[in-house]
Amino acid sequence: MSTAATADASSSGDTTEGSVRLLTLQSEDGEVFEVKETIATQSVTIKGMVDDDCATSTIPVCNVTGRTLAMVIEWWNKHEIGAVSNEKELKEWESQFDTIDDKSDRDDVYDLLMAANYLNIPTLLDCCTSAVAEAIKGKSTDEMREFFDIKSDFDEKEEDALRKENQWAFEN
Amino acid sequence: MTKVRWTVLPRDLLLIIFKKVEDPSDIYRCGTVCVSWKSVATAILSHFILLISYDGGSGCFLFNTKTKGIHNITLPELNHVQFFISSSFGWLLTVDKQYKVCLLNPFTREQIKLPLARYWLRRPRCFRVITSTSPLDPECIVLVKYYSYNKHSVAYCRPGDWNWTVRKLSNWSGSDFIFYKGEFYSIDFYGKLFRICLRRGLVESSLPQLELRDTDVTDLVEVEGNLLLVVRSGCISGDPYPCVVYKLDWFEKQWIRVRSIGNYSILL
Repeated sequence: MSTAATADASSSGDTTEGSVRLLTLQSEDGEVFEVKETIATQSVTIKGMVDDDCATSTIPVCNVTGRTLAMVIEWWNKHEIGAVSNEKELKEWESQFDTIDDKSDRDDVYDLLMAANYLNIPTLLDCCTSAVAEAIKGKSTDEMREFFDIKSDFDEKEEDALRKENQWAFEN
Repeated sequence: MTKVRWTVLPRDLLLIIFKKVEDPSDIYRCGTVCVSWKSVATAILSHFILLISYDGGSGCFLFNTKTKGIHNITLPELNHVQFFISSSFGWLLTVDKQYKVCLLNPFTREQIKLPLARYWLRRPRCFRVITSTSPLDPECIVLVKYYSYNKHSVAYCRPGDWNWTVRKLSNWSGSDFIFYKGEFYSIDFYGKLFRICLRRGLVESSLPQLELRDTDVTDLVEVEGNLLLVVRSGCISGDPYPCVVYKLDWFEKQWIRVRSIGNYSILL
């Protein structure tokens, strides 16, 4: 995890490492990360800020925790051009994200999905949505509710009607 | 860790996910999980076109217009019917052995009872069903075209009516029907357009008649508020049917040949 302990968020994030500009990202829970601009601009949202010259101070990444942001940065590092020598190796590395084996995987994918959506990272978004779609396939209504911890918010009458009319959906 | 709440996923994310699920019965089941998932699942399922086999089996399929895949759907309601046929807005019309008529929604499996059809409905020859609006609308008109005793007729009713009203279509040999701008229209095999007046029967339009051949097949389609007439030349074995499309010029009262229907596709 590449955490930089810059507690003072008001200090300028416009530092450089060699000729590469570093951006300072701050997670929702206050963790601060310094990331190469060339990597962080895989996020369309951040790229827009850089292009508009709005990325000169610390960039707050709301709704994304430090834990998730560290995973996102790991994703960026792997997807930087030239970071991984071949496509196969990258796919193998990505495969840890594209299946959901248990509830902790599921929560990670949720966090990454929300982060990918907020930061607009097309590659990560694609991977996470595929993972969720795979998890949905073949599940009955009750299995899905259990898996995703969803409580039915249909009113009693509607739920009853769903149960009666669509038994096949529930029983699979 | 942020609070994980799958019910509040943004709609566009759910849309991407459900599209990747692909199988309509899986997507359908997603729609039974919670209210927000239901609204997205319903939106996607509109990419599917209902196909029905006419061989008397309980065949009912969904054709995915995006992937061109075909998915089978099982409807136990169809086990007890004499025959069924597709109607508008994704509904089916079913007729059981006692001539009880129902509209059935194959996704929600909602059923709407229509009047008995004992006196006029025999074997389904040249049978077509269309509705003016979704059958859930109390003002909906269900129009059935059928052929019996060497005559074409239409029968119509609203859900909740006691009886069907039958109108004979004399001197008519029609092919297709459509509900367009508040009226039912029909085209005959010679390319003549009729308005079906529910009180008086057929009213012939003053549109100049197209010169069609005996083997041509005509269909009416509404695209972006325009009424289109698709003329397919008769079967040349093995080759696809050459099609010519005309658009109705509502004010000039004439058919205008169109070269392109833009980004639309028409399934006949």
